[in-house]
Amino acid sequence: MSSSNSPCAACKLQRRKCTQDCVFAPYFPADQPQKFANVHNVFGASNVAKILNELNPVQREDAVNSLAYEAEARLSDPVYGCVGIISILQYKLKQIQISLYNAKQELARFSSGQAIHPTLYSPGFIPKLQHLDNPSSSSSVLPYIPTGADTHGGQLAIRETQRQLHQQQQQQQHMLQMQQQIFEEQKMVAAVAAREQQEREFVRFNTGFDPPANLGSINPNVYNQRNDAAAGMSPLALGTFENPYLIQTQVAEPQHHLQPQPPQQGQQSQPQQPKLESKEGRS
Amino acid sequence: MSNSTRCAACKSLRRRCSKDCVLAPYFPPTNPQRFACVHKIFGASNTTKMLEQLPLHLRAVAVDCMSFEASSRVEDPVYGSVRIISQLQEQIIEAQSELVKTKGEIAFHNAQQQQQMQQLQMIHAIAQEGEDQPSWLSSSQQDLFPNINQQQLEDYNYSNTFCGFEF
Repeated sequence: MSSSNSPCAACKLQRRKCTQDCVFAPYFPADQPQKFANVHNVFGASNVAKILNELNPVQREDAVNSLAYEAEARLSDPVYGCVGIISILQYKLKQIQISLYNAKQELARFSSGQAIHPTLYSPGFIPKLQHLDNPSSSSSVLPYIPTGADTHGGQLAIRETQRQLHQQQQQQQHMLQMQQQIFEEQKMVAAVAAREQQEREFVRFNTGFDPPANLGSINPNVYNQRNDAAAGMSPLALGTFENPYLIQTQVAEPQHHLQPQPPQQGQQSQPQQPKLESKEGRS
Repeated sequence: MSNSTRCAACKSLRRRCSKDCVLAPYFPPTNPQRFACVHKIFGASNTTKMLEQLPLHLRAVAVDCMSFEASSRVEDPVYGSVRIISQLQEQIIEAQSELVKTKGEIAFHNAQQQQQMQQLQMIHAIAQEGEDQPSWLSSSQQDLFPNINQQQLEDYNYSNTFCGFEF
């Protein structure tokens, strides 16, 4: 709180008496003269006083700090001011989002091999990212269009770009959430496929012959049984297998798959089931 | 000059709009709200002073930016356009941390794959050596796994070692 002996920076600059109810005194201390000088140069003392008087005392400090920030930006860049900072940050954010998108694509390749979900290539999303790869095409990055006489269009372009930015961010968040779900599913699918391969090798080791391809489809049952103990399914829960993975539709009825097999393979498959079960118990 | 040809600035300030009015090209009479915002926040004299310091070809851009800042401040008297800056900064920080996390996962998967490849190469090398070893050594291996041929032994080792890194 300033006294008559130590005027605030505002009253000192304006060379007037700093009273006890001076609106500037709490926010422009005497040891920061440059802060008020910048604000006064850009906005003017009367305009700042009007703005502060319209606000609650609780909000005034934040308002003064944001005004000081804007004034400093405007003085350091008389053409663009804060808008230049916004443009730079928008560009930086989009660059990071592009890198993040590419990184998630690369991560998806690890989970699924070479398969990539079609939603990653949604036409509403990719063109914008591809468009941003070209730095010279800055019209979508800067929030204004320097049209000169067409000032109304420039203002609309700024608001439109704001809306577009918000929409893009919402869309990207939604896409990233979908991608995360897809990545988790693909990881589980890859794990199931690897487990199938392992079971086939076990069967080959036990019996000395390659099992038919659809016999390997029984294995997800075993995998699920190990991972879902509460399910209470037997290792060869034929006919009761619940397929959580929409991609693998062939594993729905494993017992049903056994029946149409050639006779020699069908006869050999029957005595092998206990061995497979015992093998499962051992491993 | 008649009243109908005055720019929005001179109309708002109720003054004569001269031919060399600095504000006239950027505040047409068709959009009085634009100047009203700029006048409320920056003031007409400050606006004129700032435009006079700029070259002609940059003034339109400057007015657009000032108009944007003024309208943001009118909508949000506390933070104005600074709110957009802080939101963008927060989003950048979040995106950066997510990018770092994703790159870490990629590095982990890369390392895992390399380890698996090295294990496979070792297995193949061992299998190759097994073929080249003297018969007394390979027969002792067969004694450990009776009724199993060498191909089955290699397949078992292959599957056990490869799949062992999956879990």
